Amino acid sequence: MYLPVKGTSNAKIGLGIYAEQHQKIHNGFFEGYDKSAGVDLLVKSISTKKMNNFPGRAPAVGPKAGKSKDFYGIDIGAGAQFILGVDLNLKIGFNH
Amino acid sequence: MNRNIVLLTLFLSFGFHSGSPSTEENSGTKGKVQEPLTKFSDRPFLEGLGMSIQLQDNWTYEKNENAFIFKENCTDVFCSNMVVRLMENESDLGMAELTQAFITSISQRFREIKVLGVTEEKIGDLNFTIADYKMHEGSTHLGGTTALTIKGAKIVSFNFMGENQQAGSYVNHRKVFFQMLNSLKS
Repeated sequence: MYLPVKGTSNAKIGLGIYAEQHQKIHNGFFEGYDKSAGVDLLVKSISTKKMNNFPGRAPAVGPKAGKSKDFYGIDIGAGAQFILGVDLNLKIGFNH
Repeated sequence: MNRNIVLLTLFLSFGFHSGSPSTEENSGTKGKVQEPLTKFSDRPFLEGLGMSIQLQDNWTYEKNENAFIFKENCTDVFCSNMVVRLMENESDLGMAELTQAFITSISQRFREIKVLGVTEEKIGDLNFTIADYKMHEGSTHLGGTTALTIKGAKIVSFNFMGENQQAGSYVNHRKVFFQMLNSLKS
């Protein structure tokens, strides 16, 4: 069994992440949202890279989509592409 | 006659208030019919995806070079929005690898993020991986849901985000996301 995620630095993400998440789900945020099938297959044990010491965010990882994979076989480029979508969510959403 | 009206009112009331998001609501293929939170109107065509999506009346739509952008018109600190991105699947990634890459990437990028769950859903003809997470920017608490799918040679991500200022309030925003997702039409 894997350890829960603590922060994001050098964290192991595996079955433990779901165990921890599941508690939070029932803590009011996603009450009733409890489907668990397939999670252990989808999120396998992986190791994340150490973040830079940014106050709220770390910089995007990796270059162009699909061009490189890290030691653990994670497609870094695809990851960077995904981050752009969530970054846009934040940029668009705030009414400054 | 009056009895029928009372029964109908009770049914609608129950449907509107019952439950937080469930997989049945996500897929839209099972369970009881629910009243939409607001009325749908426009149906923008998602170029490159070959699909259209239905918007709610108070949402706007624009396309830039990186994404299709949908946003609720509101005056709150943070307005719900959805970003749809199409990416070439150059490495021929499968759904499990995509999910892995996504979870890893957002965990690295956003220090305050908490991934709450990952599920699989079939919506229309497409198989999705759905990831729910929460984060905060200063004092603004946010919830996010990303739906990933593979369509042909493309990876498609639907990224939704809304406020979660009161405990659990994101759940209502999330329902809007799935209403839009369920409206995808070829």
